[in-house]
Amino acid sequence: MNWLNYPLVVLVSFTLWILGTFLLLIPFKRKQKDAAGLTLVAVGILVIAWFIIQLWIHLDRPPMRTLGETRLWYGFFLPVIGYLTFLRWRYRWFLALSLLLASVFLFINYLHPENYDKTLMPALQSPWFVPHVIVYMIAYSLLAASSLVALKGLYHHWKETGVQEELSLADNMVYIGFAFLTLGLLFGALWAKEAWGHYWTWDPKETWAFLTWAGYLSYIHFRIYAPKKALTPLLIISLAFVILLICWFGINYLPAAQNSVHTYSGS
Amino acid sequence: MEKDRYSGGQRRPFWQPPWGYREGLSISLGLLITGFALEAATGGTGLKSPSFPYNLVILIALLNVILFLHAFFRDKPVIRWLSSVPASLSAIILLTFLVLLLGLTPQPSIETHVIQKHLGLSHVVRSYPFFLAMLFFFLTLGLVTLRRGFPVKKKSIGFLLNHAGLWITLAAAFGGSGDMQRLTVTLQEGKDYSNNAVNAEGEGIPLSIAFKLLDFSIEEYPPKIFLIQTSSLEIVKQKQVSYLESTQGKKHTFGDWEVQVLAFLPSALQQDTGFIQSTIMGAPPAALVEAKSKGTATTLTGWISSGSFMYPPVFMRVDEKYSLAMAAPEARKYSSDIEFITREGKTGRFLLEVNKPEKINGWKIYQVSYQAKTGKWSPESTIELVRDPWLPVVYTGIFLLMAGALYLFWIGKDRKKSPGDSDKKEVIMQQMEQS
Repeated sequence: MNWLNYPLVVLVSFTLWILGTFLLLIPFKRKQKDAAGLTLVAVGILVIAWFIIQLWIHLDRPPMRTLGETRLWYGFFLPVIGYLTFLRWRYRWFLALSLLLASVFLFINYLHPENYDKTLMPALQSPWFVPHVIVYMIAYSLLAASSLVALKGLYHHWKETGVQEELSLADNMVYIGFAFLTLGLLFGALWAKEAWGHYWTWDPKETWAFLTWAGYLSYIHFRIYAPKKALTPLLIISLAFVILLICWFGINYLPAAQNSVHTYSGS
Repeated sequence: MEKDRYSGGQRRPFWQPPWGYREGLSISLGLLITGFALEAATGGTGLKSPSFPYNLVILIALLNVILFLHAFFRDKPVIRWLSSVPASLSAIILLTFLVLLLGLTPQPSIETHVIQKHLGLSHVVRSYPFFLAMLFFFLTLGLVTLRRGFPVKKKSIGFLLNHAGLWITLAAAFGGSGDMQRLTVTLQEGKDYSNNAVNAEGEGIPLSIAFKLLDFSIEEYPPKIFLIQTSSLEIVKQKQVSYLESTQGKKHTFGDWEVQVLAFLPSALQQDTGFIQSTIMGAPPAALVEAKSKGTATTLTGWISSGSFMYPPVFMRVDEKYSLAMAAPEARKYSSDIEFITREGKTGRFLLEVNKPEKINGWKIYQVSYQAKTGKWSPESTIELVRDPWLPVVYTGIFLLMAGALYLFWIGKDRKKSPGDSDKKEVIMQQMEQS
């Protein structure tokens, strides 16, 4: 029953992205090549979107239950953010890096083919399910994007070539990402009240979601107070992203999280 | 400005105003040590959340202290510092450190070491260090909200929404936690009205509402059919989808075997000739399946069943190693049909479902669980009654925060580009400190 050919989808998207990035990166006849490159990248993104829609239809439930399914959304939103950032600020390296990171996550799904499952436990059957997950995945993608920027910043810092441009781009991403992160957290709280009777129970996922939130909160405050400092904010972003990844994946392995409602069953 | 004296490359002495990060982190560390000492001195029992009216009195007192400090001492170096970014960050770091401990230790852990208990690590959110961290947090957040948020200007709206929203949310959530009541009632089908609730500590509490369970029912997904290793009962994983849905006509390929469901009975009993439909208690689901081997061209037909708490499961062997088996059905939805009567004589009836709580007499009522062993024949249903008088205040804070997040999304960047006068001053001061 191979109703969805994920390897083919990944192959098509990756090919389009590689060609598109290539056209965007080689530095001559920019005008014509940019249009072609952007089109290829966009079609690659649409292929992923098409796959997610098909999966939604076939599963007959939002494909947002398992870790692999959330990785798919990441593989969609991250390129979208890279694309929009390029349109807005013309950062070629950033589009390339966001496509690369998205590819890594999509490739993990290729290496660990999912076992699809239509069932959805009653607690997840809520109008909050879709907005909660989507808003979080947008936040996670934006914050991953900010980490890519921080990575470039750390490289520039090491090379001592100035990082103000990276920091101001990171600021933009963290501000918008943090807004989504806050909304996701609050949506989760409102949902939890309807489903479990309390908006906050220090469930391990909630605890780590708070830590993630506090990490980016620290970054924002640090930047306001000391806008000239370079290394510390870059390190805060990096650390906050590690906490984010623990919150997203690591929870399943933490001894403190044996009884979390968020440990995704990857049946 | 006093600070200027030290801006010529000379480092400002420790604890000499205006304070910065060093003093802030020292205060955080001091609070942490004090908290642990208090916790150990009291035998690791933690603090009990105060309930009404004490919590209200404490919150009003805290608010008044903050208003008082802001009104009369706002120009004192310490108060000025308390509403600065270094103080805020020190409070955030202290709180985050404690939450990190919370995130790394199971709460409550089954085996709590004596040291863990005496430091409050088995109950972080009720511990003294957490309490002190929250006080520091409320103080800095409150003071900065007043200093930067008022008088309200168009430019400071986003700031005010985020900071006041957070203060209100946390104050109501922590202050109000002592007034929150969570009680469970286990209802039995066929029994008369019951008002016996139980709290988290297992104490019986009589309610002013009595409930009667008319019917508990479960809607199930069609049970899944798997290929298993007969000896170990382990599921053999397949590409993309590992299971066949027990619905008449559905097909799935398990390795060499193409399996089709010829018939499905949601509730059936085994007879000599196979399964026949039955409605008696404990009658498990069963499916007639046909398995065709692509390699050997054999076709097998037989009944399989998940079994239930009363009947054993039935497998179908396809070869010496593998069998087809049916898993116990999973719940799609479960609900309780409940009648209630209040002490005042109000009566009514409602259908309770997960994610669809019901409101009666100030209680929010939730469907919690049923008897897992008997599944859809469960004769009982457990419901939870929650009363949280502070919820409207918490929600007010949450909606302010949401508005603040939207503001951050739309205008956040611009605000950062053109900081207010006080921000500018702060930035300049910081630059001077660094230079």
